[in-house]
Amino acid sequence: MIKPKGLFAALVALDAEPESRALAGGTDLVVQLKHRLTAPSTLISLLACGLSSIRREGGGVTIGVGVTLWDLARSPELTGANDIIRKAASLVASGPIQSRATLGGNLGLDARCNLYNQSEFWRSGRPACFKAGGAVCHVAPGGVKCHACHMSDLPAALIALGATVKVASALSERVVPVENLYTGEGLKPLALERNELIVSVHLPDQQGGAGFEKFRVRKGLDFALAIGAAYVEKDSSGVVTKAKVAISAVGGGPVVVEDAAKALIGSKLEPEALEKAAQAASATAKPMKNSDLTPAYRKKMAGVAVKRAASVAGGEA
Amino acid sequence: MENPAKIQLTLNVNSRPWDVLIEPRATLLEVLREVLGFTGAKEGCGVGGCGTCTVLFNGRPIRSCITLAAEVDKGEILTIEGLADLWPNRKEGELHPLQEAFVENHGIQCGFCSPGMILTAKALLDENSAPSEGEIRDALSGQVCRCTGYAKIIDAVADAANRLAPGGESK
Repeated sequence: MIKPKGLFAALVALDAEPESRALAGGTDLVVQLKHRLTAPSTLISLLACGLSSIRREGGGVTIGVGVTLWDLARSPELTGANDIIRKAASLVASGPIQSRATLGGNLGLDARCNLYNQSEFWRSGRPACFKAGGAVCHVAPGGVKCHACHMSDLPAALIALGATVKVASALSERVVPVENLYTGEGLKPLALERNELIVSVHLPDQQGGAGFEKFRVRKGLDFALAIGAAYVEKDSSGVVTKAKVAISAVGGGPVVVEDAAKALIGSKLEPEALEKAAQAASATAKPMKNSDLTPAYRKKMAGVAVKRAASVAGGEA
Repeated sequence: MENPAKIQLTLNVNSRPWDVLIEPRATLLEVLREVLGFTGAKEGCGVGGCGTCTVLFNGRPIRSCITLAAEVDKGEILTIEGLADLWPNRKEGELHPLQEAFVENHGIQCGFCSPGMILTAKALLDENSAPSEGEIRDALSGQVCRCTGYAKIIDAVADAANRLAPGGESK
């Protein structure tokens, strides 16, 4: 393990060693190490890289990826619609995980599967799947690709709010909308080069309201089974003029649901409009049989999550 | 994989510095239990799920089984063994009011989850001295008690909040 002083030193180290991995809170990476799902040559600790600030700039809030979910859940800078980030952070596992887990780790979480995120011994009972370097999917036998599910909490909320991320390597830097960070593919869910790190997230100040809903079996322990987030702006007569809807934990990555936003725009969020948005979300959700509960139920609940999130968003807009 | 070179670091555990020589991959839980002998923190699931390994780091609860020891050398670690010493009015052999509340409310059955429960509750009470039942349940939602004595544990935390309040029986 090395502890570079400063971001650039960390990026250089990441670039120099192809088998290295960046370590932030470790709440996911250390579990992967214990399960022998990854065997990095070096861990590059980001502790001393100065990535833990939350500051106001450029008409919004810029959050370093080293900020813990604990601090995010309590941040006074996240006001108005951006408040759903506090809510989303507070719903990730429970306090003792939030205190170490970081914003960057949550965004960069690998896709998960009940048949992959298991101990080496557990997995040894059958051939390696696509995600473990093999040539089979145990969730969809005969399938040609990995169906692991991206279950992280914050991306959908950030996408609905129109947030951007700064991604850096030792040689370059780019800013992309959060939705462009994801490929939708379980095998490699992040659209990042191996030598790149997510450095910060920028959340613009909002005019409207937002909502965030997450379903899971056991609060405090389980990963999400369906997530819906919605952002809504209304004119003085209560008609929705702008909307953005995202769902996650029901496929290989978070997705923007354009049809749900279209159903909301021009409406006063009447039950029919919310139902139409829910149907659009359910149609977009592609859950597989790789976590708790049935895919059919999770597909339906993605719609319910969007309906509830949009309703809350409308109440606050 | 060859064993990587050991690293020397100083961990501040229970208000005292401890010099340790450990492998970089050692978790805080391994160092606490096997090097320093603080066996209060337990290994349950070993992957951050059950909460029996919970200790406080700078006042916040963390899962010591998935925290690398090398990542927590700058800060204060508190285990259950050090809790009673934090209590200023304590006489020799006495427990912290939070521990007393667990004992007297029967919040302890087999005791395996208790250190994690009590320390998580301490972090809650330090931030919120008069939590509602819902807030207590929320704060403890990541701590598993396989004896399923949750109701008594929640009673114990509520009672501890009363004992610790100004004018409460512990002052």
